[in-house]
Amino acid sequence: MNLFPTTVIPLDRKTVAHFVGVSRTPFDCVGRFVLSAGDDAGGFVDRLAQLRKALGLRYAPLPGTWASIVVVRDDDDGDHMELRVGLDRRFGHALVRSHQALCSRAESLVAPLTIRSLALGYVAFVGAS
Amino acid sequence: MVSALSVPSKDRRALLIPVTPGSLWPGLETYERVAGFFRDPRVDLYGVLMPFGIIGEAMLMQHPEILVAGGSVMDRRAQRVAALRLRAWLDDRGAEYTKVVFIVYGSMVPIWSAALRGTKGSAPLPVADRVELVRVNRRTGFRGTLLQRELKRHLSFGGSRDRVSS
Repeated sequence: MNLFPTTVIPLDRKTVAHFVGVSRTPFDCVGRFVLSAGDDAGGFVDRLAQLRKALGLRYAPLPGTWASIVVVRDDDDGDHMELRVGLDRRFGHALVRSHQALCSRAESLVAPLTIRSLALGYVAFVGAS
Repeated sequence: MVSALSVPSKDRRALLIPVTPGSLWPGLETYERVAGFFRDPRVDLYGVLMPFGIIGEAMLMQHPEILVAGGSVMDRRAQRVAALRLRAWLDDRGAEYTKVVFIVYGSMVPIWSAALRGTKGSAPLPVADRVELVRVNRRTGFRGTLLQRELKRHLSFGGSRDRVSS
């Protein structure tokens, strides 16, 4: 089972999140998702501009899980927005045991629904919806 | 054998209330009629909801926008995610409480049941023996004093100065 979903997660009509990798710290595992525009590229650019003031905020309404949106500099492909979803190490271990106890056949430890909720909650929280 | 981590350091209780946006939510009368009575530094209040499993009351009030995306999802998938997260929370944080009181009500019953029991053959949670279930009377619901009295019985700390036991 993966820590984070590797399939494309549609966040809304305008934006999708693509999994790009995981990084680990002593306290948590962080899943990185590139946010890219769906059909409506103009709407996404507007949203990006509104988010500028709230980039890097740690949004953690759910126990053991947090989210943040940052801009990643990339000289080759240009700058892009990244959604980072962190899973607290202790809570992550508990979630693994939980999946085992409930014989879960889920693709990932953190459900796409949770990631979608955190991303859209973040955008709504900073008033960029 | 009981590990040191599973022994609560002090007498602390958790009250888990199934919440529903618009009807049973912090700040609304029906909710406050029950929860308002048990606000105490030694009692932590949590909302149980789909698909997030469990969220602290303070976070529910501070971040209602979390419902923007997932709050309306009520299918089996959401139920599953909620049960997984609730069980993980009980496993991770349950040791901090001497008692976890859950109000058995509405559509959260299957979630709670799956989270606490797991599947056949799975090891029971260490917190399972400290969990108290309080059923809501079908006739009176959250109105009246029946539920309050029942909760008081479980959340009482003893001592005349205790608000929850007065």
